[in-house]
Amino acid sequence: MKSNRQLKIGLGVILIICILFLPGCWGKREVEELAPLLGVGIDLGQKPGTYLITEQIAEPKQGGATASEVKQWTVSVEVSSAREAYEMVSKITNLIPFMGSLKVIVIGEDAAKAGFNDIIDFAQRFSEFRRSMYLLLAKGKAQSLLNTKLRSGEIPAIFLKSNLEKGENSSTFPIVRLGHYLTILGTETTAPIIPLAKSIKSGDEGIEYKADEKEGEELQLEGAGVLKGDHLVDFLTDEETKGYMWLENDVLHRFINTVGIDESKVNFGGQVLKSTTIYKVKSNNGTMELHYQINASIAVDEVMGLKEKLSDTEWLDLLKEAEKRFAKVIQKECELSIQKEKKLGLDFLGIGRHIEQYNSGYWKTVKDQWEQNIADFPISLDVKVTIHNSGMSSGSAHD
Amino acid sequence: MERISTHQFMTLGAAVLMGTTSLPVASIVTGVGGRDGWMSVLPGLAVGIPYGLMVLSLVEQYPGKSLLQISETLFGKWIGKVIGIIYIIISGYLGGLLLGQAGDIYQVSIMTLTPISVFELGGILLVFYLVTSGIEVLARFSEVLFPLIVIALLLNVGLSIPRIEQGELLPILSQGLKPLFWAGIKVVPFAMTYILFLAGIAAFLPTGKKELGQFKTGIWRSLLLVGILDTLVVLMQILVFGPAETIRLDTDPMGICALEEGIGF
Amino acid sequence: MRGREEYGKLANNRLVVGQNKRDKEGENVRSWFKMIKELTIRPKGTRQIRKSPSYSFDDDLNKPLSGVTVKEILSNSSDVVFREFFLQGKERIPCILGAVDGLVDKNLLDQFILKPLMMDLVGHPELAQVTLANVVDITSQSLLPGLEIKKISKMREAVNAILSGDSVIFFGNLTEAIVIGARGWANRGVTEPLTESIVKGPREGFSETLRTNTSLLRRKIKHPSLRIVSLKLGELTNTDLVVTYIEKIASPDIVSEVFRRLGTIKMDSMLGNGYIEEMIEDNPYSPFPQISFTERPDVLAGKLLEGKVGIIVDGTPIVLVVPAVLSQFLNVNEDYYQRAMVAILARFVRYLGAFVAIVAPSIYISVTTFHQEIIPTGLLLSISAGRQGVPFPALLEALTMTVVLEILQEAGLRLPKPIGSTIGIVGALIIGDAAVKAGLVSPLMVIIIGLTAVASYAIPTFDLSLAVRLIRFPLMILAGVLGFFGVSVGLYVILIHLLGLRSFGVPYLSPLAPLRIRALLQDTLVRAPWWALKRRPQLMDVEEPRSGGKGRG
Repeated sequence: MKSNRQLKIGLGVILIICILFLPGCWGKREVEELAPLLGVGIDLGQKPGTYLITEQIAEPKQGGATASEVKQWTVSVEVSSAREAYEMVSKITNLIPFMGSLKVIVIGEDAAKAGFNDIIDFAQRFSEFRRSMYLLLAKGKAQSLLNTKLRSGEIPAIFLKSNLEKGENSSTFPIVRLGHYLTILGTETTAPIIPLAKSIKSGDEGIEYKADEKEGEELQLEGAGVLKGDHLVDFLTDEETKGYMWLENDVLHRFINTVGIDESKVNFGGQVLKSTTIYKVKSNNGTMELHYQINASIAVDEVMGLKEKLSDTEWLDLLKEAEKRFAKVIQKECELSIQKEKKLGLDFLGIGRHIEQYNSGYWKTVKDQWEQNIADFPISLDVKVTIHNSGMSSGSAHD
Repeated sequence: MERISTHQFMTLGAAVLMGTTSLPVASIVTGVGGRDGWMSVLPGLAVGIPYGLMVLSLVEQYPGKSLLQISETLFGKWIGKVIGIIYIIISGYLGGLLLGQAGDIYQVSIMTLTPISVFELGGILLVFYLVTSGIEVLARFSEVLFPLIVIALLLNVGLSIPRIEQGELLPILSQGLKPLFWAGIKVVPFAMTYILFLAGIAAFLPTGKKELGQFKTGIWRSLLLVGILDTLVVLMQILVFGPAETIRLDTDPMGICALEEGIGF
Repeated sequence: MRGREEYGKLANNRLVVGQNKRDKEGENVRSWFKMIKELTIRPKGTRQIRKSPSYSFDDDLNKPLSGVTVKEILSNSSDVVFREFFLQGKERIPCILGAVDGLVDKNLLDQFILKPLMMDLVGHPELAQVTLANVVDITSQSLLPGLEIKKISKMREAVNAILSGDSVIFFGNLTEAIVIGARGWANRGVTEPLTESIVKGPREGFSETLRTNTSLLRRKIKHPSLRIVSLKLGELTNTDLVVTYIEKIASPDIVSEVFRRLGTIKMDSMLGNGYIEEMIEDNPYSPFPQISFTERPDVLAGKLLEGKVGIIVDGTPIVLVVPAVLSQFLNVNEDYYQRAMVAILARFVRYLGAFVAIVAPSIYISVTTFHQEIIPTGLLLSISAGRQGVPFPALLEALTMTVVLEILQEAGLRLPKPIGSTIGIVGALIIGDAAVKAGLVSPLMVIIIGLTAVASYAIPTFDLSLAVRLIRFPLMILAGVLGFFGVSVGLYVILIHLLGLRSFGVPYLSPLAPLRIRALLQDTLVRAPWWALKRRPQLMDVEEPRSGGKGRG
């Protein structure tokens, strides 16, 4: 009892001494000593084997209380490893570069084509990074994307991050986190896909704004890039990406219209309220095929080209018509996507995985020559649209 | 000498088992059993039940004696001593291994620049304090802590739900039952550490007929409970990370994932 | 050279060191150790402290009673009054009535003692029979009206009676005297207690007079099973105290343990409950209160009905209740007067408040100095912006602010009310605004400290909130050194400490550990409605209710 107490007192004293004298290094750093990294851009360097790494760092200033008022500081360094970039940046700042706040990794087109797994290995290995970081491809150089002066005055990295995060409201491009990318890589048969960001000049793609050096430019997220492993192979167009979103069951809400799908004069616009895609692997006269069943529910909120007043039954017929036409639009997007997959011979739609999931016996027989088989593998598609409502009025404004 | 209650017995065993399994088990079973690894956790742990009952029957026959004393009576002085020494070495080794693993995970994923010895020292001091406070306090400690561990795990699992990847669990049993068997074999050592621990606290168990009956249910209850929780953990990791990443990730990926979702990065 | 036995004696005077200057060095060092040991380790068994000096009348006190000697002993004090008169019976008997001015009800003595004996009863047949031999019996049996009348025959009893406020009549040179209970001094009366104010419930509180307090208790529990046992402690102060419990509800083990522990106290004075508390609590080194207190009769009655034992000390409105468990420090009597649903919410808020009060500053420190990864980026930027230009590291900043908070609390506590509120305003201005503007602290730190302060006020018991304030500091230092690891080690140590604590044999964390599910669900974190509280809380898992026993006391 007595010796026990002495032992305890001794331990206590040791503990107190440890506590008093040991603090110091051990990774202790005050929050204001950190240079929080917001975005990283990866491009190929001039010298072979090097990368041009662009780091966008926030500079919190007293008084700038919210993130939107934060100043930024962007620097590009030509290095052969991510740690070297860390070192170079450390040399030119009085703060400690801090990776834990990193949200977006932008990969430049050339770096993506050359492969980038080596350089982002740091991001999945170093403990400060998170698997929830977003991956983005840049059309052109990532450096120029991150150096864009946005008209809204926001920091490009923060803009890209928040634009990605609200992406599921329009479901036009995939949202890819680092963890998701790594998981897809782990499947070995599925080709990863990463959304694409580009800067938009006034007049491009029908977007116009008052172009002015001082005012800056706009950035746009549209389309995606398909990768073979970590090498960029091709870009998907907007429509192909949308088709991918349908087939991947990734559509949460979508804005959709029927203009140009066929000759009809009356056209509809609407919002997808809910969509589910069901996969089936079934045998069709001895050959296996993958069947997609897409069920979408759409609220019509725009009717165009309606000339005469419709009775109730006619209105219902019109909405039936609308269902078919919306289905056609979706079908077209999906078919474009499937065509692209067959053309590229890259399974970015994850068809191989679907076959494995629903008929693993059959999958074992085709697994080995899967890339050659993709082009010929039969895929069928069935789109079913239901109109949920037609907005706050029935009939047209001309009544 | 103090005795521990049946409920404390259950939570103590479950806490020990949970502590040793919950982190490494996903990586281990998925490594061998692939996508279906989660199914092998429960059967693997169930192997421990007959051994646990064996220990209890020893307690019944030699009430109030520790494992060392029992083995000395059974095998004679010298063989008993040897068995005792082996037992102590194995327990010390496993305890050290556990402490080292915990320290390693902490250092790798949370505080990279702090020497690992600091975590180990902290752990040892805590264990020392706990042990000097007596078996009664140890039992109550597990009683308080185990529900917290369970809540934390469920929170981890619940918060990770938004990160579930599509169809990672399918196909089920595409490789047949064989990998499951091997994965189950990999789980058995965990059950055996539990048996070791059980043997260690044998001397503190009450010896009444009624209590022994309750302890028997306690054994399979704690193994079942931990088995279910571990299965849930493995299942969730496969769902979120896919089998390839589950095998590759060393630390506590789901905790980090849940943290990210919970705080809302 | 002084002998070893003398050391022991001197130790009581706490002057050991000063008197040992000429001793050899080794002896000196040993005496130092002895002093340190005496200052830090509570002795087992009898706790004899501060012996009272011996007086010339000490021997007289044990002698047979004599009115003249009593008068001699007490004659030096001006407040003691001796009224000498003659009783005209068969014989003419010289009497002395002794009392302390101010402690007795003079009116009562005049009207019902002196007046009958000296005037009204002269010529009364009973009085006419009185001789020196039978005066005590006859007066007490048939001459003196009055409820409390007692025969005594010892000097000590007589002196004690007079000094406690009773009056004593001595007859000639007889060795017997009569004590008349005629206490009546100025007291505060029954007022609403300041420390435990409630919205919905009784308003009366204990006061400084023991009898008032027992009467308040008796008014709550009108049943013969309520036991009120009197004791006296303090050689100089002669303080009355009362141990109260309900038979068959309180565990006999606990009751006898209370008496045993009270019996070990040997000290000259007893001025408040704190004296007893530190002498009889199980673990003297714990920051946590192991004995609860109350100022309200309704709370005491409720606790007694749960099987606890109360210790009421004369001269203080604070009543000690043992055994205590942690959860009861977070419950208040109003929980039982409010509807169950409201009580559950209130308790939840209290538990949350206690948790926040303990960990909020340490979590802030560890997050901002070690684990910036878990701060969402937007928040990280604003914390960082707020801390730009702050000259201190987060640990020092938090420590300083907490110390300032403590100073403010302590300063405001004892000031007269009108000035007290000024302190609050000035303090708030200094901490809240000026310090931030001057760049001494970051705005978030102010929020954290404010949150901590407010959260600690959610703890209803003063004792527990003191404990929380105490353990906040080591946790903050641990957080500043080792981040979350340090905090979790600290919390584990606290948990293990709490698990090892016992209060009069009852595990401190019960019914959580050891788990008693019914008690836990019935009245711990939540309170079940009254119609569901079918059983008395079975938290009395008494095992060896010995101080310093297993589980560290």
